[in-house]
Amino acid sequence: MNDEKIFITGMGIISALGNSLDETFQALKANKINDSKIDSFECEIDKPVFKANFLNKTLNSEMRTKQLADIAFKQALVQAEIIDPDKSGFCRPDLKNLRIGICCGTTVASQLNDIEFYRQFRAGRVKSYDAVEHYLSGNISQALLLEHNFSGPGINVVNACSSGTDAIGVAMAWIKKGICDIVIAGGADELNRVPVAGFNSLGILSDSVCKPFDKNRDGLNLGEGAAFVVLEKESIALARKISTLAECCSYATAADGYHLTAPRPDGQGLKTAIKKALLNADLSAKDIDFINAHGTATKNNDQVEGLVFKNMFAQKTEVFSIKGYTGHTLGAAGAIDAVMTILSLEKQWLPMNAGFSNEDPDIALSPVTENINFKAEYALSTSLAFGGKNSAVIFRRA
Amino acid sequence: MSDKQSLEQIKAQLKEELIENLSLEDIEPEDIKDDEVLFGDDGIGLDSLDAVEIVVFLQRIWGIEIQNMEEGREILVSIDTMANHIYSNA
Amino acid sequence: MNLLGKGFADQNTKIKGIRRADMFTKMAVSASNKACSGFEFNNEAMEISIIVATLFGPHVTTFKFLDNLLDYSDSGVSPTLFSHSVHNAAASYIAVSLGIRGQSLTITSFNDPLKQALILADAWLEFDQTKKIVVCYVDEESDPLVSAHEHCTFPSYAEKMIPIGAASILLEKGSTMEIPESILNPFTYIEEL
Repeated sequence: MNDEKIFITGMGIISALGNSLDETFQALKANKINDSKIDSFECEIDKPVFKANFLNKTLNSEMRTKQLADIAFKQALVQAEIIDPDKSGFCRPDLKNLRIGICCGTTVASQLNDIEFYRQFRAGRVKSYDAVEHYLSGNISQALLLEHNFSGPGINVVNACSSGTDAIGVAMAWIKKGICDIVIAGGADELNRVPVAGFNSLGILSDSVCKPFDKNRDGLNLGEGAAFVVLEKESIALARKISTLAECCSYATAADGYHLTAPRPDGQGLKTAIKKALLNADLSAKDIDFINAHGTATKNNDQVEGLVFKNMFAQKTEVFSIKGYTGHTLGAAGAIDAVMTILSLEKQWLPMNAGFSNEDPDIALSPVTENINFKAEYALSTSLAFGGKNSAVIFRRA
Repeated sequence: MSDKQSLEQIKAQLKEELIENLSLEDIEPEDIKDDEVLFGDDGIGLDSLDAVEIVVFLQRIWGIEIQNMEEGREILVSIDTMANHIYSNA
Repeated sequence: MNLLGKGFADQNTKIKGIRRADMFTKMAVSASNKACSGFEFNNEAMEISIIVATLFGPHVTTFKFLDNLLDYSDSGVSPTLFSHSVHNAAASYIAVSLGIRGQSLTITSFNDPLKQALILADAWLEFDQTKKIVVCYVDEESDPLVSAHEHCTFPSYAEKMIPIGAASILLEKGSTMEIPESILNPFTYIEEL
């Protein structure tokens, strides 16, 4: 087993906040809430969403999720000095000898859910199997491996809303096991009629812009985006003379074993995941300076998270959810949270928790209510998923 | 529905729909009492996912709109409470 | 790794007590229950983990959801179908059925998903992140996907026969089982373990 520290050497992000790390940071500084309406596909449901705005260069020849992934992935590779921004191939020949893997979380891209294809199939007259071709060639990790000529492995994590965080966990396992020298881990998901209709049917979409942790929160907004981080062991980063953005200290996950769509009300699964992550990092709760919460703004999620945080952490531990700015980006959420956490550690700064005005007396916890500068060394990022999955990852400032 | 259903017809259909849509096992319509509390640990023990499923088929079949789960909690108690609501609002 | 148990299930699986579960989940639960038969996890629930590996996930349920969307429009879709079309539903049911509260992961790859699951299982066991682990491969058949395979020009899938059903193994740390270079058919591989 490789006991070396694992560092983050590159990041990339696209969401409603912007199409790059810098755009994201600038938008957060200004507390920009870029909610919008569903207008890119036919849908009866009229609820706020968070769209990414980018030029669709490939014009429908690839799934939108893959296009989002491409943008964030490339940013991460460029920052990690694996590729040049304007050329294809490795930017240094010695990279060819490194084992580079990819792990991507997603929900929409893992399904063959093209509505037009299926409509035609039901009617017995399929005009084109292009949708299927896109699906089969759009397995994100494998497509990215091929495009960049990486040795692999490449898998998608399909753990619903904790996928992005779990992808980081897989990356750490691969590096520790000696399977990879470098792993690009993250997540991507697009706004799509299927999850919009699905989440609406569960009664957990808000009619207004979401309010994570607020007393009057009434549901989530869906969003789209992608984010990736480049993980590599310390000796590789040193040999490559690459700057490190943060240390990825530990990852842990635990199942509720409780219900398909509702989290354990006592938060035991989340507590277990957090405790394991702390243990794995040789830390205690008091070492954590802030928490990037899953914070979806549903009654249940924020209640469970809020109570666990209140119970486990000191009052001084700041809590923050990005979802008031990005919506819930499903398979990308954990990865976007990771990038945000690392950015916050780097800048020693947190934006205010968008959407929060009134503390919920049932939780008795207030997230960050204004942009703050602070001293932070360790941060925890949590993700909770359908099916009772609870995941936690801890980062340390570089 | 062109002719308004009677309360008894609604109750009978509700029981069929519950069994069908919630995939209830080893339960026949006559096993579900009209006044039995449907949610919780007793009786047929429905849960939160069943509740939202019922909301969807109430809307689909009878055009009943339940705006939120606070409203739902008052209506989705028993066959009687649901049938009465459908009868008055469909 | 050491093999402690194995189990299989096909698309005719009948299983009581998980009324809402679709066939994808029923197969995964049935195979996993068989693999763990004889084991009680009560005292070590937090130390038992699950990895579910699949090529295409529960697409039968996805298409049923799309049926709802096309027949009843956006506000008439079934939340039960939606929540089961999310790939990790099967892992959730396995956790509840077996009383498991350790790590849980669902992965998909069009290239040897079972092998990738075994690699991760091996890592988790080696690093003592878990004491035992259920690894379940599951895939199902649907008419749209069969049609897609017949018509699709994407090279790997025009010829490939997709293994259908579920096969689960229960593993612990040890050295009697090596991970092969590739696994052509998960069922044959597990059968021969």
